[in-house]
Amino acid sequence: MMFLINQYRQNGKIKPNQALVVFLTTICAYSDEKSEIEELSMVALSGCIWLQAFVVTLDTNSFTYPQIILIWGNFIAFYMINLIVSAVPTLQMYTIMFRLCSQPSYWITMGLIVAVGMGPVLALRYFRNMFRPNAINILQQIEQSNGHTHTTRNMESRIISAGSYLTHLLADSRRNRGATYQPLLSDSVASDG
Amino acid sequence: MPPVNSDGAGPSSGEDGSAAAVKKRNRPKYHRFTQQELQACKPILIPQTVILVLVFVGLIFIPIGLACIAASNKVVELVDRYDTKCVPRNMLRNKVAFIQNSSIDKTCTRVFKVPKDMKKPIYIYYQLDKFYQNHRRYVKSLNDMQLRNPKKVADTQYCSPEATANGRPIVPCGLIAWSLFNDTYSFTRGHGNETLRVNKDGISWKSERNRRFGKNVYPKNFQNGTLIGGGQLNPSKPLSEQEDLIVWMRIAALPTFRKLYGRIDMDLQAGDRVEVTMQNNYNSYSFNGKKSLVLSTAGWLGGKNAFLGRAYAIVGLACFLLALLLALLYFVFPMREEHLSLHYTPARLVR
Repeated sequence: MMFLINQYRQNGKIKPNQALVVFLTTICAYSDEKSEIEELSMVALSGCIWLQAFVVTLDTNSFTYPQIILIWGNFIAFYMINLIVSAVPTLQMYTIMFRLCSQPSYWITMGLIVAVGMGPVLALRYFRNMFRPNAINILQQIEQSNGHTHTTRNMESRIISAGSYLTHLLADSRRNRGATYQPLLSDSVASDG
Repeated sequence: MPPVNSDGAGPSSGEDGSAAAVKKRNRPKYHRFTQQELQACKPILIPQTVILVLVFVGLIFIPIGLACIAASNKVVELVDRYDTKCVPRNMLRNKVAFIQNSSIDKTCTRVFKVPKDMKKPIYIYYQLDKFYQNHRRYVKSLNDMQLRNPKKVADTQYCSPEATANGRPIVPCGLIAWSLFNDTYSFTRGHGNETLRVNKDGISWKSERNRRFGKNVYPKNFQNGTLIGGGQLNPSKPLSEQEDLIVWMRIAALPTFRKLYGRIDMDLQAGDRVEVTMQNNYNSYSFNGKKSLVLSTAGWLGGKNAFLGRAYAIVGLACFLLALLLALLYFVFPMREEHLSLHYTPARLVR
């Protein structure tokens, strides 16, 4: 089972501490000692799928409907495929998924894995955005502020200054990189300036 | 109107027309998706949103945690470890010799005192420690085709070292079946005056009785080798009705595991005295394992499981504390307009 979780970690979407969360939560939640090996494996795999969906959601900065469909479609497809496989009588997986999904403890374990796996990541990301923002964070805040009509005059002047500075910064970055480099949101910033 | 720069009106005008027509035909069709103009939601983490989410998660998690803890506390579970206590005192130093000596009586009597009312059904489990059913060679030592199909009884591939005995195939073959658990338990209430019937019907999964184990496959040549690993099977019952075997052959994931032995379909009252007469047949002494008998009721969460409830309560509390911390930071160090500005040198701006 650790091999399975390690495979998911190597895909880059689940961090080592999150893999540890999946493993330990699965072992502790199903430590009433009546679990079969396929059940335990499926609980751990489900935990990885749930965490993957939330991690990708957190890493996405701009949601259009393709993003939403692909992230949660992957999630739904996982359950559909496993329910189909659980209906094949000759496999060891036979009826495993049906039995798991009918247990309240399974869904409660999934909620716990997501909360413990995502909570620290979310908190760290928030603190980093708030107290040590990088250029992308500032650009996002500026873009959000442009959407508001009640911006004060003082804020406007500061935003224009920041936008002008960032335009130069990104121009420098563009010069230092190849011609194929596309600066993020530079057009909107230029239009602000 | 001809182009301004053209020299000859006729030929140039014709070529330009055809070129323009070609351009228009090759122009890609406009679509908001291809032009990256879809409506987009771009959320950022702001204090109000994060604090609300944390409070929301806390409000959800703490009630769930308390409900799980209550469900776990409602389960009554009695555990009695008997592997050492059921060995005669004069053989405590040589338990393996005791268990392997078939002439010694293995009967043992243990007593449970019921602390709280136990509602039916009361599940009877045997528990083994240090038994690694998940060992790879052990897990692989069976043949599914043989268990299912009466025409495949000679198919003992993968079953070594318990594939054949005296030159004939073993049914069911493999180490898992060979090591079948064979302690038995019978129960009386009071001082031996009321027998508690053990219901052993339906202790295995219906899918396994219907599909994985054949109803026309009968045990054959089982435990006929030089080494006896566990219980005997009734050769006149098909494998699909040998529920003890079916339960045992469901591989446990962890070295400490419980398996269902049967059910008591009667309520037990607080203060009841339950006497268990057991046959201590199974050899857990060779590998220094432990054997226990478990009586347990079941709640909606399954058996006794305090981990989920406590974990939920702790996570909910942590979310509330984090929300409180963020709120304090928000009020003590409010985000002002100047924090959005950047500190940069005029020289860079000039360039």
